[in-house]
Order: sequence, then structure tokens, then C-alpha cells
Amino acid sequence: MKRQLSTKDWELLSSYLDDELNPREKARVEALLSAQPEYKEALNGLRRTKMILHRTPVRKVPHNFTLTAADVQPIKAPRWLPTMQWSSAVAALVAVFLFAYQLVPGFSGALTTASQKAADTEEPSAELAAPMAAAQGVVAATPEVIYWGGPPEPGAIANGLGGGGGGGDCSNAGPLCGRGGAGSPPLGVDLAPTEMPFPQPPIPNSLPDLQVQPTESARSVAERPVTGTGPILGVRPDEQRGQKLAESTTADAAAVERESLPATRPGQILLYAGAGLLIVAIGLMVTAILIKRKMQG
Amino acid sequence: MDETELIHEAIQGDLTAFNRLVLTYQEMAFNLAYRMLNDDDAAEDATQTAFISAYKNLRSYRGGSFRAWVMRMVTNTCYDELRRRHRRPTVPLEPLSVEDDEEIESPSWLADDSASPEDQVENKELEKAITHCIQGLPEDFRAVVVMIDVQGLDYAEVSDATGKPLGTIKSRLARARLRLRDCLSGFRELIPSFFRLGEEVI
Repeated sequence: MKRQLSTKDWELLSSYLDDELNPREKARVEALLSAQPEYKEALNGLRRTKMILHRTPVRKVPHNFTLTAADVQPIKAPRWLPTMQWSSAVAALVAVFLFAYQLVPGFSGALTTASQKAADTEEPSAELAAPMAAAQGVVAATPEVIYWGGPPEPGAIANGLGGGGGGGDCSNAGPLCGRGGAGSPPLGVDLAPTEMPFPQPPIPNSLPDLQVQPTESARSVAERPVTGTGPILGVRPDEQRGQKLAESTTADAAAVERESLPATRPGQILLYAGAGLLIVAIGLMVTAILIKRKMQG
Repeated sequence: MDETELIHEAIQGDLTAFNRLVLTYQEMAFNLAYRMLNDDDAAEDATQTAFISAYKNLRSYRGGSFRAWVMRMVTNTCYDELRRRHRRPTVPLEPLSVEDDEEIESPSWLADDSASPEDQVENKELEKAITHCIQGLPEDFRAVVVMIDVQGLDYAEVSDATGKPLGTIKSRLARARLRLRDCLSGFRELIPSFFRLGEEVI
């Protein structure tokens, strides 16, 4: 039975034919050639092929391939090629900067903090200016008014007696409704929560309404004109009385939304600009490389 | 002036010295290009391009066999052309008549004036058979077998020319020879004297 030669066997025989084997491999191949007739047959086939290929007719050259000075003259690079390469690098750098500014929180945060710090340095001077103006007798703008519960009914101002929390809807309320704040500190700051944390013992309806007479000191405080810039809790300016709080809340929310919108748009524009610059940079770079390769031939 | 001096002068920018090297290796370069591309015009262009490239890159020559270095330029140029063909394949123009066909297959500059008419016929058949079989090989095998068996370079030179290790060269050569053996045996009737010659030697 004839043995099939492996690829390695063919490689050994081919190299043996060209005398490219080391002595150990050569001895091994010669042993196989003397023992196995199929190896000898295979070697003869390779040798015949090599001889035929060696007799391949040589084609004469159609002309001499000697070079002239014009053939090897270096092609002059266009003047704008270096500019294109630098533009590509600059565009890439700017694009990276823009992406980093938008995408890396620490990077953009650092820049934002820095800008905020710059703005904050101006704010204390304004804060300092207010007391100075107050000291000079200048009347500031109308102070901010914050309400707890619903809007107070006309004439239901606590007059500094702690009645600020009792002006809400009293349809389902107990007898304390409208009387909250009795015994509260002056200036009408009602710090009681709107909901009781624990169940309260019922108070009989037959209890008489508590009437607290304003003291002299409280009366003098209430009669003072409202000045300063800080918020006054529980007291609403006259012109705003009777208005619905919901309307003002909706208006405030809309104002907040309007203010927040422009803040996101520059970010998106920067992101798009970065992407555009990156595309331009890649385009310029590829073009410059292609031109350079073409020039080098 | 020997080859080393010519190379040195050429590196210094002496175009005349380089052209003397061109005259030495142009036939080998053109034949390698023709066997790789199987087209006279393409082989001509590739040879010219390879010599221009060789002159421009002479400084990258680091000694060793100069003909292997030149063959490397030719091989690389041929691979570029083959890649271009793969990207944009073209249909070769058909000869207009039988005479034209004959002229393409047997150009005047190929004919050996000293050979007898019988030898010329057999040479033509051999040329056809070898061209057919070599073109049937993968491109990497083709370059190796042409450089070693047709042009007589040694393994080390082919390794330099192709940039492949010696083991790869041995393997590619063995497989190329095996395929060519099978292919050429189909032409035994057309080129009997060449097969007889091989048997006599064995």
C-alpha cells in the first residue's frame, strides 16, 4: 500500500532538492528515499518540475528602463499642504477641548466653579451695599413675602399675635382653626407644622373662643413701618391679598423653566461644534496623508 | 567599477551609476513583473515604477544582495498592481484576428533567432504551459517559485525580497512546486522533450 506524503514530507523533499537542509534532516530524507519508493517518485516529480521551470523562455525587455533626471525629480509640495496639516491638528485639539468641556464632569465643573467664583466676588459687594444703604436711610425694594397655608382673609392678619397659621380653609377644621398662634411670640411667626404628627385629643366645641388682647409692646411693633430686604413670613403686601397662590406658583415655575432653557442650549451647540470640528480635522488629515503619499510615489 | 561602488555612487545621487545598475537587473525585474502580472504593458509599467521607487529609496538599502533588494521593489509594485486589479477588475481586449492573436502570443522580441522552427514551436508551447500553470498559483506562491526556480535566486534572497521568514519561503515553494507538477503533467503531450529531459536526468 502506497503511503500518502504529508505537507511536511513535501517541504523536506523540496528543500532537499535545493540542498537547503541541515545534515540531520538530510540524513533522514536520504533514509526515507532509500526505503520508500514513493518518496523517490515524489522527488523525481519535483526535480522534473524544477527543470522545466528553469527552462522558461526569458522575455527580452521592450526597452531600457534607465531613468532620466525628469523621472526622479522630486515633486514640489503644494504651499498649502503644511497649513492643511496644522489646521487638522488645531481642529482636532479644539474638538477634544470642546468634548472634554461637555463630557468630563470634573473638567466642566472646574471651569464653571471658576466662573462662579468670579461672579461671587462681585456679590458680596452687593450684599455689603444693602446694609450700608439701609444705614444711609435708603429704602430698599419691597421685601419678599412667604405664606404658610392659604392666603389670609382680609382683616385676618394676626397683628403680631401668632395668627398667621390660622387663616386657612376651616371647613373641616376643629375649633382651633383660625385661632392658631395664640400665645405665639410677637411679629406673627407661626412655626407650627401644617399637619399634626400625633393624634390630638378632641377639644369640645363648647369651649369659648380665646380672646387675647394685644399688649402695648406688641402693638408698638405692629405699627412700625416694614423696612429691610429680608423676607417677612406670613404677611402679604396689600396689593397681593386675595390672589390665588396656585397662579403665582405656575408663573414662578414657568419663569424658572424659561431661565433654565438658555442654559442647556450653549452646551448642545458646543457639542455639535466639537463634532463638526472633529469631522473637519479627520477630513483634512486624511487628505494631507493621501497627497503626501501620492507625492512620494 | 564594481556593484558596491555603483550603489555607493547612486546613493550619493549619481544617476548614471544607478542606470548602470538598472541595465544589469532590468531583464530579471521585467521577467518577474511579467510572471506576476501576465501582461506586457503592466509589467513594463511596474518595472519602470519599481526602478524609480528604488532610486528614491536607495538610502533604505542596508547592504546584502542588491538584486534581492531590487526584486523586493518589483514584487511590492506588482502586489500594488494586483490589489488595484482586485479593486477595479477589467476585461482584457480580445484580439481582432487570428494574426493579431499570434502577434500577442509571440512578439518579435521574444523569438529566438538561433532556434530551429521545431524548437521555436516547442518553446512557444512551453511558454504557454508555464504561463498557464503559474497564473493558477496564489500570488504569494507565484512570487516565490518564479524567483527561485525561474530566476535562480536562493532562499535567503527570496526571504529578503518578500520580507517573509525562511520557513515560510520553504513551505510556499514546496506547495507551489507540487501544484505546478500536477498542472504541467497535463501538458506532457505538448512538450514531450522537456519531460524526457527530466526523466533522463533522474
